[in-house]
Amino acid sequence: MTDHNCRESLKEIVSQVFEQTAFLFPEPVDLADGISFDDLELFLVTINFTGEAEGETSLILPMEMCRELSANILGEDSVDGDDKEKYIDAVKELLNIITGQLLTRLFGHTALFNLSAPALVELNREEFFSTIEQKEYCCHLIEQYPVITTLTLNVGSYEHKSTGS
Amino acid sequence: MAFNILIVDDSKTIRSILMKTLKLTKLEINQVFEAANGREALEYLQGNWIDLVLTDLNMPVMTGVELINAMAQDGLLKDIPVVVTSTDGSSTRISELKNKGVREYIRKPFTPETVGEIIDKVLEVSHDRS
Repeated sequence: MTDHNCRESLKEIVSQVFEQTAFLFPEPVDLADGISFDDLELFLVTINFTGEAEGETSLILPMEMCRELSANILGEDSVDGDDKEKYIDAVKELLNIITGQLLTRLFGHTALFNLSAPALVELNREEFFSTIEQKEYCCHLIEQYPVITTLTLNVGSYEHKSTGS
Repeated sequence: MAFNILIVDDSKTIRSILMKTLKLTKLEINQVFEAANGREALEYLQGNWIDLVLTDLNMPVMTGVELINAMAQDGLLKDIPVVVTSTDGSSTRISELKNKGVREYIRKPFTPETVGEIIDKVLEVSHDRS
């Protein structure tokens, strides 16, 4: 499995899951293209997985996007209000779905994995950059908001069993 | 005949989606119960008549697999049809669950149509879908 495979799979799965679950259409972008994270309240949701391989997936996105996501997933017109718990629950479930789809794509349909419960961390700007350092990640713009998805595979925790898709 | 359905998922979002999905089907529903984990589900099952359980696998307190095992060991609960809804796409896992008596497996993300068709199949309900 190459880094390129991981990154491309990540990019495709993120687009697919956002479209299918939230009717949102992510546009892949390069972080180096000056995407601004200033003035955004950023959240990090992570899931650890064990099994055929060990590692972690995460989703970093601004609160405004969490709100939008939750409304779209639940088919609600209004994105007003401040039910943070509700928004975060939707994001956690979205990462759960992304992780499940991604692991099947990378390791095939027979591979068994156990996923941890998604965990939430509020990020400041410095933490944001250290979080994505040395990780496979992809960045999308969704409704003008940046959304970053990362994948970390622990070295030596898996055999090269990529489905090559 | 109107059915009582129990939705078991630690995500409130998924429970809401399934509730809305059930309302979109032509299924005659009496009551829909919600539980956030297997233990809560068992409490509902012990106190209410349930025709179908829709359960997630990965949940805190008591997982979906533990719930399925507990139901299988209970003479009154073992025949209630169970449909698993999960992000896990492993055919190995699906096969293990089918061996435990799980009737159907719905992978997330799902569409209302898929959920409706599977529930109809499991509850042996037929509608004129024209």
